[in-house]
Amino acid sequence: MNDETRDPILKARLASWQAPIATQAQRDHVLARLAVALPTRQPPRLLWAWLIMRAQVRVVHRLIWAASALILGIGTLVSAILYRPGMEGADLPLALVAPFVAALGASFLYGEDVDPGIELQMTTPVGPALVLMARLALVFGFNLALTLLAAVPLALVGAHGAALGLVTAWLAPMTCLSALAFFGSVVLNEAGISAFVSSAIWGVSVWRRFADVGALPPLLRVLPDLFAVEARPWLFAVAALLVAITLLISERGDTQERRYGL
Amino acid sequence: METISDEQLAARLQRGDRMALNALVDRHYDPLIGYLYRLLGGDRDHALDLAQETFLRALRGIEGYDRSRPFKPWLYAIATHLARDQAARAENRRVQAWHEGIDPPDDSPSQEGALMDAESTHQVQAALAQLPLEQREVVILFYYQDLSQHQIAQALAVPLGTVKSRLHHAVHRLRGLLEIDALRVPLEEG
Repeated sequence: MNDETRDPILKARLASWQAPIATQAQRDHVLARLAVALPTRQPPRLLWAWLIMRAQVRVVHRLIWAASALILGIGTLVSAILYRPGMEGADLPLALVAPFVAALGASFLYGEDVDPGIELQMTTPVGPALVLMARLALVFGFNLALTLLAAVPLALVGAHGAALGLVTAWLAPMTCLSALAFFGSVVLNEAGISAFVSSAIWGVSVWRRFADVGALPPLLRVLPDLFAVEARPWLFAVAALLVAITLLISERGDTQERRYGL
Repeated sequence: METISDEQLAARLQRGDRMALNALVDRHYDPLIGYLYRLLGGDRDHALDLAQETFLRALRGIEGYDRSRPFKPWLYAIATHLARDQAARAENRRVQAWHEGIDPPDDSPSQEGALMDAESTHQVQAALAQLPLEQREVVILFYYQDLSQHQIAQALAVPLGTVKSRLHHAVHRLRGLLEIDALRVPLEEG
């Protein structure tokens, strides 16, 4: 450092200009404002994911859990009663019911009357996409677990092969229909319409499987066969695409703004 | 007792530690007000507002703060940007008022009046107001805020040589404005 900048006279002269200091009230006011902008302390990732999921369990309507369990229980019972040796897994009532139940559940994850916890949700530092993803994972995971569980009693009544075929038969359509229902409920903002559309698509697929294709109306004949083995990779791909689009739309926030007039 | 460094406090702040925020405000709020007050030519209200805004911006950007770099220059860099914006707005208002034929409010102390004033404070204020903003920044950071020339270079994002050059020119000019050389000669002669 050169001598010029160390000049004590210059330093002393400059020091004569004193600056004001903040009062305690001003300091408290600043701290209060800053406290609002303080970064949120986030728990470890796994714990964070668990907390989000746990919070969403309370938000997802109880009826979804109960109805899913009831319908899949009845489907399993009927499948066990109706099972005859040589029957394919895809022909069992459970394989027909499981995608329908999953789609219904996914339809009611988001909609006008199915979101009582929205005020709570909007005060949490979690984006809407993450919240919806957590709900979808919960409901889809629940139905998946129930249906896998249902394959156990079917295997016990002797339907080993059918039980395995059952799992491979419903997993792809169930995933795709759930994703479609989820997409519909967020984009159309109407759980009922979304549930109807996805149920109708599944109904047509079931009809197509058991009825003579030639007897179907021309419009329905061109629909892809959701039970076909070669359709499965496509069904998973479409499901992934639909979920991604839905999450992108929900993250934009305008669906919530539209719903809640924000 | 060992004092926690600014950088350690900033690291805690990144994790949302409110005590770290209180400690940093405690350490830097008044010095920031002083820096901005002197940089803006003695405007207390603007200095208070900008000191608060500096902390708000620092808090919003704390995730991006690199803990391996000193905190103080980082904080003063934010304050300097805000002060420059403020100075540019004030200059625009002055130019607009001139175009509209309105006498703009003179918010810088009159050099003539201040130099004639017996009060050293006013002389210093007037002398600093005569410096270009980039020299004023360097002088205030160096003499009032106790930043080293290296830290000033970091805060202003300029090379160290530029800081030295600005400081040299500023000191030379200040000595003339404050008549320090004239003062020194009789003292030395006496």
